[in-house]
Parts: sequence; structure tokens; C-alpha cells
Amino acid sequence: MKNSSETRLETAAPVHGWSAGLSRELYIKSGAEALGLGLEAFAGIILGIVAKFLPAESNANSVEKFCCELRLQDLALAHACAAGHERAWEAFMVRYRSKLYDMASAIARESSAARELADGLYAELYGTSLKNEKRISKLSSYNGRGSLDGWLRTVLAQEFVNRYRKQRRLVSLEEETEAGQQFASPQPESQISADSRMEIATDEALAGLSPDDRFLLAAYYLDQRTLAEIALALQLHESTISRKLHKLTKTLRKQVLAGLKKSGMSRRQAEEALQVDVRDLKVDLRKRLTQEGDAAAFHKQKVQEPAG
Amino acid sequence: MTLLPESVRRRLAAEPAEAANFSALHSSADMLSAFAEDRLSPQERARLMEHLSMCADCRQVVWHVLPELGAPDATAQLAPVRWAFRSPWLGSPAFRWSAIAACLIVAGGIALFQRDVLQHHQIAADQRPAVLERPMQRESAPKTDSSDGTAPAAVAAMLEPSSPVSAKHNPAASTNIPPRAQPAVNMPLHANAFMGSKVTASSLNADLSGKIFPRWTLTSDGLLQRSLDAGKSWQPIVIPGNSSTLHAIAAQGTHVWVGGAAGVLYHSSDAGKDWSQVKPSDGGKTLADDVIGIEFSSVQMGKLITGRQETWTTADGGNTWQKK
Repeated sequence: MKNSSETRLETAAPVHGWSAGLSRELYIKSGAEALGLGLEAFAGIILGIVAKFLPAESNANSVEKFCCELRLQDLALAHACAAGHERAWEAFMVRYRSKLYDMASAIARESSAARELADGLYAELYGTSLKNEKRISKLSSYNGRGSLDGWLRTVLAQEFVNRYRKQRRLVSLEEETEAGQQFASPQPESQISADSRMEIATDEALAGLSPDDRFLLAAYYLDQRTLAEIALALQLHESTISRKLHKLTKTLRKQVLAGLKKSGMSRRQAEEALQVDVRDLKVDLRKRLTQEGDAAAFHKQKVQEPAG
Repeated sequence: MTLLPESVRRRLAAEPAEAANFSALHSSADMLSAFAEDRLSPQERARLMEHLSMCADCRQVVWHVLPELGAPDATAQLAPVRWAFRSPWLGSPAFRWSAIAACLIVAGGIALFQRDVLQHHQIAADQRPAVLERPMQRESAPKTDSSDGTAPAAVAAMLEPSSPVSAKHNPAASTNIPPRAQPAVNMPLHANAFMGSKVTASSLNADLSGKIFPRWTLTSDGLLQRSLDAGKSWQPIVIPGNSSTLHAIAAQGTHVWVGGAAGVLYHSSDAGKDWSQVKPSDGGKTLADDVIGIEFSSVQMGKLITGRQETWTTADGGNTWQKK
């Protein structure tokens, strides 16, 4: 016999394929009851996640499979904490109190910055901001797609990257002001003039790449990541990454050359243009990469409190 | 490594001009962490990769998250290969292809040998006399030593379609409940419930790369147990939300399937860390009968046997089922 809350859930649910049986099954699996979260509240959370990630026309099997793949126990813990249940907070603190500082240390690499990062996140997780007199916790935005551990680490990393980006803008501005570069006369045309033929040929060559290939190039050449790290990100073997990079770079050079020849350059002119390009790389690149985020500097720079 | 043209590097680093609010499109922590844990659908991954290929900040987040979440020995596994390909002789294509060919020949030989061994055991099981006449009885003392892979005779009897015993099988009667299933080992062809003869489990407990997988068993009370040390010790495994008695189990690597009373069926893809309940259905009919036998020849191809001698098969890892 269904109770009234289950009936209410079933009739109100806009999601095709949702049933009170599935709701109860997920509720039991999640252990939400022990954390103080009720069936209706938990089902509402799941329904919201399903509506966010699945198309409206998904069939029952897809909905059930998606729900069963969620990290239900982590989801129950996070949302029970967001709702302010004491038992949930006790469980959260036992599990994550020291782990959060360890995660922050691994990201910030410096104890004071790590502590600041972790303390800041704790405050956001607890919910220091109010909306309609209700405390808003960052944990309510956790959707259970990945583990809660991974989500917390990602949130910490995002905060760290945001702080570094703000700090980088401040530092750059100060450096430019001290060097008087703000008021300097415009630089003479650089050796790498903005040759539109080169840009067009490059754009055409890059347009043919898949997002995975672009990611691979950016990860290796811009982010200065190792083959092992890139292999981990793309779930491929390191030797596969090495071969792909080699092949991609060769193919890109050929395509840029072909594009330059198509635009009217002779083969010799195109090769010279590319060679000049690569030579000037050594002069320009260091400066360019430092401004765009050298991976080594990223870790080593202290994240300081912005003035004021 | 070939140098990348500076023009290409500049264009890679540039944010797309058309996305005026590009920074607002940064990926959520959920999507990034799910990406790092490889839990996105192919479509979601493609969309996220499109963004990551252009967004240095989101890529930085991924690099911070990845090393902690990746496989614990992922870097260690890759390191020896990296060394090999840095040596000019060992890194030559001819050597690589020769090494691959040699590995394939060895793997093929091992697979043939294992197939012969299993065929021999199957023939021995088929020739066992008087098995059909023995009534099904539960074993009184659950075995913890899984080196003796003798399957209770009643299990083989139950699976014979013409067996008078199987025809009389009454799942409700406690004395007719199938005895404890054999410890599930990662055998390429047969799951535990189908084995009718002695099997030396230890030699079949590792795959060709030598990686050891957990062993599984069900006690006489239908409780699930797992061993991480080749059967020397066993730990009880609780499947959240399950209150049914379990009768059958099969394992393929880290994929484990457990079935029991009233059509209950659970699957874990990570050696029992997380479980999901599976409800096979075909043409509007859902499996409701006791699952007394499970066989998975690969991660995708599997078969269930019920107390009423129904067979349910899947070719896609349990997403869809056909009843026979």
C-alpha cells in the first residue's frame, strides 16, 4: 500500500519513467534516512538532477540507469548537510575535516594558502550567506555525478584558479605601471607581423581538429603537462598520447604549409614563413607563456590577499 | 617532439572571440569531477572536451584534480613503457610491432590451453553418473577454502532440462533451495553455478596480465563474501538495500553479478564497492522468479537461469535482456 507521500511523488513527478518504487529504492540505497533526510525531500533532489541532465523524452530504463549510477550515499550526505541536519554534519566532519586540508595542501602547495582555501570552502559548505532568511550551502549544488571527494577537490581547485587569475591581473598591472609600459609609445611592428595568410592557414588547420586533439595540443604545449598526466586525463596509454602528439604536430605543419601555398606563397616562401615563425617562438614564447599561465609558475606563486 | 608552429600555439591559447561570456560558460564542479572520474556520458564528455580544449582555467582545475583521482598506480604502470620508448633501439617501430606480435602469439596459446582445460572439465561433468537422482540439499558447513572447486552434484542436476529433480524444484521449500554456489572465479567461459567438476581456482584467478581479481562466494545462508587474498580470508559484503537471500553469483574481472530470491539481481562494476539493482524485463514481463544460476562469458554477454528453468540472456552487460 502506497503512503500519501509516495503517491504525491508519483503523481507530481514530471519525469517520464519515475515511480514511487524507484524513489524508495534509491532512498534506501542512499542511507538518507539515517542522516535525517526524508523520502520526499530526497526524491525531490533526485528528480531535480534527472530533469537537469536527462532529456525530457528519456525512457524509464534510461532514467533508472542514470539514477542508479549516481553517487547516492554521497548525495544524501551532501544534501542532508545542506539542509542543516546535525547527524549529517557529524558524519561529514568525521570524514572530511582533515581531508579537506590535505586536498587544499595538495593544490596550493603552501600551508597558509592551503589553510585559507580550506577555511573559505568550509564556510561556503556550511552556508554563511542567506537567501530569504534561509542559509545557502554550497553542498546543495552537488549533483552526485562524481564522488563527493572529487567534487570537493574540484571546488577547491576552482577557487584556487580563480584567486590566481585575479592575482595575476593585479600583478601584471603593477609590473606594467612600474615599468612605465602603460605610457610607452606603441611598439614597432614585431618580427612576427600579423600575416593574415598565416592566421587563415592556421585557423583552417585547427578547425579540422577534434576537441580531443585540441585538448591534447593545449595540454602538452600550453599547459606543459607530461605525457603521463595527459594519458590519465584522456584514459589512454602514454605511448598512444606520444604517437598522437607526434602525428598531430606533423599533420598541422603540413596543413599550414598547404594553406600558405594555397594562398599564393611558393613552397620555399611558405617554409621560410614557418621557419621564421618557429625561430621567433624562442623569443616570444617565454613571455607569452608566462602571461598566459606557465604551469610551473602557477604552482609556485603565492596566492596573496588582494589589497583592500 | 616536432616543434609546434607559433601561429598554431597562439590560436590554441586564444579564447573564442564569439563567446562574449566565455568565462560564464566555465564547467561546473560536478562535470569536471565526473570527467576526472570518467563518469560522463559520451555526449557530455564531447561537450566538456570542446570547452576544455579552449579554456586554460578549466584545464588547470582538471590537472589539480586528476593526479589524486586517477588510478593509484597509473603513473607507475606507464613509467616502464616511457623508459622503453625513450631508448632509440627499443623505441623503433620494428621492435614494437615484433613485441606486439609475440605477445599476441603467447596470449593465443594461453587462451587455447585454457579452453582445452575447461572443455576437459565439462566433458567430465557431463559423464558423471547418478547426479540426476540426488536430491538437492544445502551444504551444512560452508566452505571457506576455495581451492577445492567441487560443485555440489545438485547444482549440476538442477541444470539438466530433463532432470526429474529440476522439474520438481520448489523454490519455496527450504530443503530444495540450491546449495552454496561455488566461489566465483574470473573464468572466461563458465560461471560458478555451472561447474560440475573440480576446478583449481587459483590458476584461473588472474588474467593474462597477471592482475589478481577478488574471489567471491555465497554462504549457505545466502550471504555474499569476498576474498582479496586468493581465498585465504573472506569478508562479508553487504549490498545496500538488499534483504533477499542470494543464490547465484558470477564474476568477470571487477564486474560481479549476484542473483537471488524473487528475481533479485545486483551488479557491481568495481569489485563490490558500489552496487546497482538490475531488473531484467522483456516484452513487458519482468523477471520475478528465483535466480539460481548466472553465467557471464564476458563483461557484455551473460545468462541467468531461474528456478522455473527460464533463461534470460543479455548481450550488452545487462542493459537489455531477452527471455527464452
